[in-house]
Order: sequence, then C-alpha cells, then structure tokens
Amino acid sequence: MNNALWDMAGVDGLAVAKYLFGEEVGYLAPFQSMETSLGGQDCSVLRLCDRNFRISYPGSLQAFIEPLQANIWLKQFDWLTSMVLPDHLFSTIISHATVRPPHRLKTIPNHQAVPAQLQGIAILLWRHPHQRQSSLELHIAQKDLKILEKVIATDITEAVQ
Amino acid sequence: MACSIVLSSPTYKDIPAPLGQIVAEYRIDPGTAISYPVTQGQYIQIIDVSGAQCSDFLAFNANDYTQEIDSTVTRTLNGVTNPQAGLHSKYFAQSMQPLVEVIQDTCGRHDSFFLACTRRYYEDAGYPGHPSCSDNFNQVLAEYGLAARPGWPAINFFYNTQVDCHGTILSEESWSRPGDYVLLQAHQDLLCASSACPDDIDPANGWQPTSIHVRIYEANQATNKVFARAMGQRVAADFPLRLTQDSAFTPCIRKLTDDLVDYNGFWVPNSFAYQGDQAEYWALRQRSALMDLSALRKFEVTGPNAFALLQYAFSRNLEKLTPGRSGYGCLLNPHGGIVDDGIVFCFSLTHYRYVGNCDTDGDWLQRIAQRQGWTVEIEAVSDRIHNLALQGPNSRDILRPLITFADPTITLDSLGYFRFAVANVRDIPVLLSRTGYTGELGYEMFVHPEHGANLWNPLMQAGQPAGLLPLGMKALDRARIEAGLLASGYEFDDLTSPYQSGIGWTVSMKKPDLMGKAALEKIRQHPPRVAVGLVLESNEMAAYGQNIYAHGERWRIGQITSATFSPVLNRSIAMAQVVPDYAQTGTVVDVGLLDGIKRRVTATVGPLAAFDPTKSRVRV
Repeated sequence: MNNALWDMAGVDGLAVAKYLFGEEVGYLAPFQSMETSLGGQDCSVLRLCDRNFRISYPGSLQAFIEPLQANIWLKQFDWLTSMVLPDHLFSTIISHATVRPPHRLKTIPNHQAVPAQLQGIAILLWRHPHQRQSSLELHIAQKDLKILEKVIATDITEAVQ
Repeated sequence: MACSIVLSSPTYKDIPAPLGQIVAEYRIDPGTAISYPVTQGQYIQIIDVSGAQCSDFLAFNANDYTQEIDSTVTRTLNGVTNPQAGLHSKYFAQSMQPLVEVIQDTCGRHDSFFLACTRRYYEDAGYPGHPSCSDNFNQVLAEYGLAARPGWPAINFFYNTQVDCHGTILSEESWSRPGDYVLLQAHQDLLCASSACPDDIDPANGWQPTSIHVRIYEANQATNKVFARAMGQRVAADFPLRLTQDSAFTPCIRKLTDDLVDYNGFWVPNSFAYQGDQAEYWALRQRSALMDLSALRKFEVTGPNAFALLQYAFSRNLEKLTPGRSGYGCLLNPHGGIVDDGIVFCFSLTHYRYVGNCDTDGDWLQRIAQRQGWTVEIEAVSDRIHNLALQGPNSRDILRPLITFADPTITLDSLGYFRFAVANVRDIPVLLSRTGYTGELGYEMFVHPEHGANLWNPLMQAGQPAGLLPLGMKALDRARIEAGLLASGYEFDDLTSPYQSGIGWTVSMKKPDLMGKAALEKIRQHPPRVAVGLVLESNEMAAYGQNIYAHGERWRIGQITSATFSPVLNRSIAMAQVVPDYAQTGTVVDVGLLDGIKRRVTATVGPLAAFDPTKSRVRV
C-alpha cells in the first residue's frame, strides 16, 4: 500500500520540517530525501525547495502541524498521486525517460529525486526505500496515472522481460 | 537588392574571420531584411558589421510555421530577460520546444520586450511611410505564405533596452562594436528572417543604419569544430573582448554538473548534480569541500620598486610581510574607494604576487608605477596560474598524506594562517597557501593549468572517504556571507571606502604615503555608513539593495548588501551598511522586505561575520 503524500511549504517550512523530523532535514538539498519516523510510523521526507517538503506518510500530519501555529500550509493534492515500482525497473525507466538540464538521469543515487518525463508524461522520479525495500517512487498527475500505468505495463515491463 | 549570397569562401574584409565551415552567407543591406533556411544543428552567426546596428530576428519551425520564437515563453523558462550562453541559453516556441540556442554572444545586450520596429512607430513620430523591420519581414515572409502583421514579435539582437526601477522600458544606442556577433545553433529545421534595422530617427542604430552579416555554419562536427559556449565581456575600453573560458578544472567539473554559469569570465559550477547547495555547504562546514577559484586574477609584481608600489597602492602595511607570508587588503583609488580587494603574496622584496578579481588591477598598478617613476614589472599571469581551494575542518587531514614541501623544514601542520610555500601534491607542483573564502580552515593550491585534472582527481579521491564534496558558487556564497567576507559589487566598489565596507582594519594609516590617504583620513573620522551584520527575526530572506529603517520609523538608515539563510545558525542573516549611529551591536532595526512597506522584519545588529566572528576556525 502506498503512503499518502503530504506537501508542506511556506516561510516557516524548514523550521517546521526540522521540528518534525530533526535537524537532519536541514542538511538536505532540494530533491534529496531522508527516511525517518514520526509518531512511531515510517516516513519519507523529500525536500523540493528551500522551504518546500513532500512527506510520504501513512497517517495524518495535520495533528502534528496544527499546534505549531507556523506560517506554512499543509496539503494533500487531489490531483497528485504516486506509484511505487521495484528498484530493478530503475535502469529501464531511466532509459525511457528524459530530463531537462541541469538535471541528470544516470546514476541517480538513493534518497534522490529528479523531475523527468516518461514518454511525454511529467513525473517526479524518486529513488528511496519503501517499506524498507529499495524502490522507485513515481509522482504523477492523477489524470496521467492510467496512461503511465499502460506505458509501464507495456514498454517498461516488456523491456525488462 | 536586399542581400547577397555567398556559398564559397568569404571575401568580406570588414568582419571577423569565419568561425568554421560556412554553408551560406548573407550581407543584409542597411534598412532591409532577408529570410533564409537553416537546418537542425547548423549555426547562425549574426554579425554587426559597423557597430551599433540592431538586427531583428525571427525563427519558425520549418515544418510548422505556427511555431515561432515566443519571448514570453523564453523569458519564463529561462528566468532571464534574454537567453545567454550556458544553462539558460535557448529561445523557445509556444510549444516550449527550443528553436535556437545561444552558443556565443560578444555583445550581451539585446531586446526581447519590443516588437521589431513598426510602421506605426514611425507614423506616430511624424515619419509616415518610413521603412520598418516589420514591413520588411512581411515582404520577405510573404513567399512562404506567412500573413503580414503590423508588428512582428522579434528577438531584437543588439537593440539596447532595459527595464528601469519604475518599470519603464528604456532604449538607447546599441552597445555592440564593429564585429560583435551572436552565434546561435538551430535545434530544429528553421525558416529564419533577419533585418538590418532601418531606424534612423532615434539612437537605436546610432542614428545611421548600417549592414548586418549572417553566416550559416555546417552542423557536421566532423567537418566543423564544436563551438565553445561563451559570453563576451569587456572590462575596459582599452582591453580586448574576453570570452568565457574553462579553467584547468572545468573538464573535471563538467562531468559532475551541467549547472555552470559565467562568473568573471570563467565557467564555474553553481551546484553539483545530486548534491545541491545545502549538501555542499554542510560538507564545507562539517567535513571538507573542493572548489575552483581560478576566476581570480593573478599578477606578478617584480622589480626594484615592487615593494614601494604595493606599499603605496595596497591598504596593508607590507613591511611586516616577509617572504612566505601573505596579507589581505585592498587596492585604493585617490578618493579612498576600493579598486579591488585581494591578497598580496610576498616572495621577496622585489617579487610579490597580487591575487584579486579584476583584469584591470594590473593596469592600475602599472599606471601608478609610471606616475611615480618606479621601476616595476607587472605581469598578468592568470592564464598560467589556476587555483583550487580545499576548505573545511578535514582539509588538513586530507592534504597531509598528499603533500611534500620543497623546504623540508615546513610541514602542513606548521604552515600558519596566511602563510604559503612551494610544494608538491603527489607529483604536481603547487604553491600552497593557507587562505580561503569560506570562514573555515583551508588551503588554496595555485597550479599550472596543464596539471588541472591531475590535481583535481587525487584530491577528490583522497577526500571521498572523509565526505569531501565539490562545492559550487551557491554554497560558497552562503558560506562567505556567514563569514562576513566581502564580494565585489555587493559590499564594495570604487565609490566605497574600506571603512564603509567593513575592512577598515586592513588600512595602515601609519604608512607615510598611501593612495587616497588624505581622503581616507576624513572618511575614517566620519564614514557615511559602516558595515554590520544583521540577524533577522524571521525565516524570510532579505536581499541585496533592500532598505533598512530605524526601528518603528519611516526613514532609512542603510541598505542590505548580501543576505542568506544560515543553515549553521538556523537564522536568516545579512551583511549591511548603515549610518554609524545605528551600527552598535545589539541595535534593533527594521529590514524592509518586498516594497519596504508591506513587510518590515526586525533585525539585530551584530558583527559582520555572523558565524565565528573571532575567526577561530580558520586559525585552528
């Protein structure tokens, strides 16, 4: 089962992220991520910009944020969804994908994301552990999900086979 | 006849030699326009023959004329007013697909806000019937079935416009000189049109329209060399055009990032792939980082009066600078302004090296020597000496096993702050200097460019186990602001004194004679502003040029010169210059964010270096 995606941003975005996930989150550069836990549950934190974060978390973050009275917003976008793929598809996915400079696709390390395009579909390609397994998480617009599933089921999976 | 076409060898003597194998060539007569095909991969060189001549440019996808260059799309995707060679170099169509890319540009000032000149412009100015670029384009594009337009949204090369602080788009005479050019590469098969603008009723073309020359170069790299990406830079009227160049280390750096920018005439990394500035910053503060500082300019100052010259022109007292020592300070002008900041290295009383930021520093020193009648030779050696900086608390440990000194009595651990020595890193000869621009323990290695990769690679390998990362300009800027280190154009220029910019401590007023001494005496007593550090009571970042107000008041007391969010302090910080009455540590002031009215953020005055103000880390 996929975790829910929570997006958080604002003037105090970094301060709140540090409060929730510790100082380590301040060491991340945009598109780097870390694995941690919150309220006893596993949690993945991806930094998207200086003060923008995306959190993959099974529960609700609302209760953690509300008492802080911080200058941020916390949202779950109904137009955004994710797909988790086994890590062995990684090389095939990137061989079909493109990126715009200065992003690069080859040798994406673990705990790193890259905005990319897969056969014209915009994706955020995020390499990080999922349920403690190496995996590849794709964030895509909800409207593109079925098309992307088809692309992966045909082009990508067949290429692997 | 609007143009002549030459498909063979060039015969034009009034323009620079071709850059490569020409496949077509067009001379556009003054006040006319042409259309021409270009295939994907070919290069288009648009040359201003006589100088100060605008050339409006259109490009359409040859297979779909609805796809033409769109300036708004281009500005949006690049985040700059006009594309420049490098990362933000492409002109895009409405489809957001690139049509052409800037490969070289020797002028650097073009327009993407205005239409190509129109009939209406001339009519409104009292010149009904005056030829216009738009009408000329209508004529030459009609044969392709492109409908006439009253005005074409062109890229107006060499047209000098800018948006001022009031939002007005100003235009003036073109900056371009005879032979200036823009070199583009076609990303698709194109139909192009270029003009030699007929505007003679304002200064845009220097009141006298002249010719434009267009060359098309072969795309095939087997027969044509790859044209290096470069921007042209002119630093003084009597200095040659300088094109952006690679340093000795850039080939290694390009393997690690595509995010390079022109900095002071060199391609330097902004940040590295899969790292980013925060990761690079933390590597510097906690472990170590390697950075290319070859854009610094180096000058050998030699001769019997070398000491006298620098003792007069440079702010520090060089009497204390014995061989093997260096000192930070600034070159001064007669009214006490900073010509440049830099470091003087003493090899002997007749041999010094000045390392600064500007190509013109050597010329300035030469002029002073001539006026004083001193016998000194000043040689620009920047092309022979490139430099890497290894900085961070682990830098000494990384370097120790790699380095051997020419003088066996010197060890890395005994090399003090602002000391230097001749050494070898592995078998590469370097000048090792314990200096830096980060506020951390660190070393700079000056090396001949032929050894670039042989120095970069072993250092990266040796540092890897200790977590060393290459460091880009974004992280370096964050670190230098924390450390209160000045940047030219931000903290100082030639109208700013050392007392205002925060380096009054480098001025030795005890010297009997010093450039600008009389002016500096007065400024020292009553500096108009002084440099301070600010810590903001907000997570928002300030920015260069924002105003600082007395707390709760409407009147200004100073301005921000540099600002960042300090990861190590977890605070938004700034370097600022304020009137002396508000420079006391602990003074509370207001920083005007946005328009200065909508949001004011309280800040507290402190030392210029918000991080480690006692410099304990660099002296360790």
